This record gives sequence, structure tokens and C-alpha cells, in this order.
Amino acid sequence: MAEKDITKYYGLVYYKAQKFYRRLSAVGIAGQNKCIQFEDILQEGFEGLVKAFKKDNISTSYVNIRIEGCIKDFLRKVGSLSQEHWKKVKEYEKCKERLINENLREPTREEIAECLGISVRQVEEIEALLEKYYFTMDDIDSPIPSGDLRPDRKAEVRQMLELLEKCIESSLNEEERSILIMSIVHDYTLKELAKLLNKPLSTVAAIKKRAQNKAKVCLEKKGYNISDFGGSWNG
Amino acid sequence: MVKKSISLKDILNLWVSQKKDRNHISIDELYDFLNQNVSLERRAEIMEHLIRCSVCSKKLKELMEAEEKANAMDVVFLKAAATFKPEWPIRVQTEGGKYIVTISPHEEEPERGLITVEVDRYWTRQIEGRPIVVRDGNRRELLRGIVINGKVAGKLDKLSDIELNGIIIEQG
Repeated sequence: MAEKDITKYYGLVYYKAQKFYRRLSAVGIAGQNKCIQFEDILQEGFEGLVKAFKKDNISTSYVNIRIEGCIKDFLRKVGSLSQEHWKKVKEYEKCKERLINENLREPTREEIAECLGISVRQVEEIEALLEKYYFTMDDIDSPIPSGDLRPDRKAEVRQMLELLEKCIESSLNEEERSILIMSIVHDYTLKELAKLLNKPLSTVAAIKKRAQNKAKVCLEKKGYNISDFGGSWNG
Repeated sequence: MVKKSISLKDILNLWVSQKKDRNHISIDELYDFLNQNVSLERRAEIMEHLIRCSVCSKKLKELMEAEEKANAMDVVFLKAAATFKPEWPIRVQTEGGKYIVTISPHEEEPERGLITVEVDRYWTRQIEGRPIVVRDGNRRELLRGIVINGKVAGKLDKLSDIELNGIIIEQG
């Protein structure tokens, strides 16, 4: 394996270390003047990566597991969470995830207890552990404004959506739609989009401009005036 | 006819919220996507998901930012650290091959010395002019400086205290 291949995963190590650090900082375990510093977590992540690279034919998912494994091992050592507790936490997370997917809502403690085959009191104990060691990696959520519209705007929204279907899905091609939404809704910079789409910055900027104009013209034909690219419409 | 005034951002937000896709993409696949390691067909599917999913697009953006920060980074992990006894001077290449770290003790005062970090030619263009910090395995700062002509150097003391396993070189 070429030596430089390992550097492709440095970003992943940094990302993981940052995630753990933010979570631990939020509960007061890591940070300045605390026993765990960002560099400690980063170092463990790198060690996991180096270990992963001792194997042939590795996948990103394997690398990810090794990075996370090394960081968690380290945190277990410096923290007080035993292997047994970790197992409980993982089972709790799995159960909760399954119930959320099934019911499309936050499960109650009783439901989790039933799913795990333990008492509600034990669920509370696990939750107390989780509160301290909040390590779940996949619950990052950033809500998009929706569903909070005033009742008197519902009809307007329905009408608007019909127009949107036409203006966004028909007048814009896939590339224009992607660039427009990624930059305006998800706040990607042109530089980031250029890297993502493997296109020159100037091309991405031109596509964005073209897409904005197309959307503007289409919506104006439908009786709307595009005031700007910011502001609030949700009322 | 009086035209209603609205912003494009709000219109697009509304569209995304109505088209939400909750089948999230794993961080592994997002990373492969970022590094162009997925098929063209899958790439298009992921892109289509990203525009409809603020969770995954946020994750991907964070990954991109992490990659940017990790660009100048590299590490040294010497084998069997517990039993490893350094023989000075030490000259070691980092795991990713970005740097060569040399630590040379002073001839008359062996606890004092010089640390030099040289950037591998392959990485010079990306790292030249950037500030870097070198820390040992115990988080002790060994060197801080800007890469000029592919090199940074500085003085060191307490050489025997340096933890050579787990040295991290990162952007300062």
C-alpha cells in the first residue's frame, strides 16, 4: 500500500476527534483545563488509523471503526465507564433507534424498557450514564424551517408548492438545482461546491447565477417577486 | 396584478422541507463520496439525497472542513514505544510521508538539541507558508513555526523527556 494513501483518511480522523471533543466538552469532560484535550483524542484517532493501515484491502468503514474504537478505548481508560456499561449504552441506542424508525417519534422509557427487557429504573440509569457520556455519533440534527407556518399561510404554501414543483424541478437541471440548494439552503461556499463537484470555481459560480435567474424568471411568471436571497417567509 | 414578494432562500427551504429524505447516508459513504470513491451512479444518488437532507449535508460540510484542517497534519508512531530507546540523532518520516522530523542533540549538552521538520517534496506546494506546530506524545510543544522553503527548525531542551510515540504535526 502506498504510504501517502493513509493521508486520505486524516480528514476523517480530525472529524471524528472533533465530534467526540464537542460532545465531551458539552458535558464538561473535555476542554481547557480538563483532563481530556482535543489533541489527546486526535492522537488516539490517528493511532486507530495507523492500526487500520496495518491490514491490506481496508475500507473506509473499517478505518472508521478502528478510529472510533481507539478513541473510545482511550475515553474508557480515562473515564469511568466500564465495558459492561458501554454494552448497555450501545443496546439502549440500538433499541431507541429501532423504536424511532418504527413509530416515527421519541420512544417512552416504558417502550425502551420493554424493548431491552429491563426495568424502567434501569433505563433511567442508562440515560444518566448517557447524559454524562454522550457519545452517539449519528444524532446530529439541524432542522430545516418547516411545519411552523401560521394556519392562514397553509393555502398559500400549497399554492406555492405547486409552483415550486414546476420552477425548481422543471426549469432547473440537476446540476443547477444541486448548486442552488446546496449553496442557498445548506450554506456551502462556492469553493466547497467546486471541490465537491470537481469543477472550476468560476464554472460553479456561473451555474449558480444561471440557476438563480431561471428560478427568478419562472417564479415571476407565476406572479411572485423575488425580493432577495435571504429574509424570512415563514412569518 | 400585485406581485407577492418572497425570497429565494425561503422558497428553496420550503421545497427542501417538503422533499425531505430521511434515509441518511453513513459517514463512511459520505467520506468516500468526498474522496470520489463511489460509482458515478451512486454519486448522483448521494447528491440528490444531499440537497434534500440537511443532516447529511451538514455532516459532509463538517467533513470537508475537517479535511481542510487535516491537510497539513501528520503523525509519528514509533513501533513498540514502551521498549523503544531512542538513539540520537533521530530522523523519522511521518506515517503519511508529509514530513521528516530530525532531532539532533547538542554535542556537549545532550539534553539540549535541535528539531528540524522538512516537508516532503510531494506536499511542499500545499504546506509551504503555513504555520505548523509539533507536539510529542505527551502533548508537549516541541516546535512552532512557518514552513519556509520546505523547512521549520527550532531549539529543544529536556530531550530525554520527549515522548516520540504519537508525535503530531498540525497547522498552528
